[in-house]
Amino acid sequence: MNITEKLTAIYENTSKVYDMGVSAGKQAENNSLWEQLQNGGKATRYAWAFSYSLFSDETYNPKYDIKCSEVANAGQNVFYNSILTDTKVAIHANSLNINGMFYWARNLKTVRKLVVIETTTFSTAFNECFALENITFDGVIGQDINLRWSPLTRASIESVVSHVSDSASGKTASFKEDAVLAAFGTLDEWEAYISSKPNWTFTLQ
Amino acid sequence: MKTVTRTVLIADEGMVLTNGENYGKVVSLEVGGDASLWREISEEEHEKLIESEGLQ
Repeated sequence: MNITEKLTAIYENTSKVYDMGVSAGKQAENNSLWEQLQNGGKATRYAWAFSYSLFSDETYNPKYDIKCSEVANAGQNVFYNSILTDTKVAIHANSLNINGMFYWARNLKTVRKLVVIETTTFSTAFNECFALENITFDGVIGQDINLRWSPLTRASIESVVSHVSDSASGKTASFKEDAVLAAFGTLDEWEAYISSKPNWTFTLQ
Repeated sequence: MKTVTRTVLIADEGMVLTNGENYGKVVSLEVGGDASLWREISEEEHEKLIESEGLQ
């Protein structure tokens, strides 16, 4: 190598090391931010926390699962009118009422895992979730749930149906008709599938 | 072997079924559910009702 080539190589390597350092610094800063925001994983009140454009997909990097306490309203409107596309971590909706949790989150495509208890009420949790395709449930769905706006995949529809309570009565689960027909083909196939949950009313819209 | 029969209600074109709390164009009632609790409303009326829901 001549001098020019050596200097060029040194500059390029220095730039790479600098960029790596900047990236590592940003990563550390991000970790520190979320460590504080989520109080080391102990935070339990997330009402409105990620609503509107407070966070983008780039800046929303939770370090811990989102765990809502049993206190009323702790899980309400968490992602209301959010611009996020993915919840990235599991959400433990122990809160009795998660009204509006994803209301109007029009870009939201994926809810990684939503852990609910039989008394969790959804109210308007999924209103106008026009882009929601993927949702995985854990726990028991024991109250009315309305997903009529969402083009859910078959796997997601099955996740809902398979987690509705076997002992509840007088409860309704609502789905987008086009999503169900795309997933199951015909109403007969759908009826055959939901026959395993005779204690639930299912509506399509 | 047990056979379970579920009543399925299907709304007419341009209409939506409701029991006052839930809505649907196709309603697969829980076994033993009361079909008389459901009535048809127009899609327009339904949208107005949904808009008025808002945040609680």
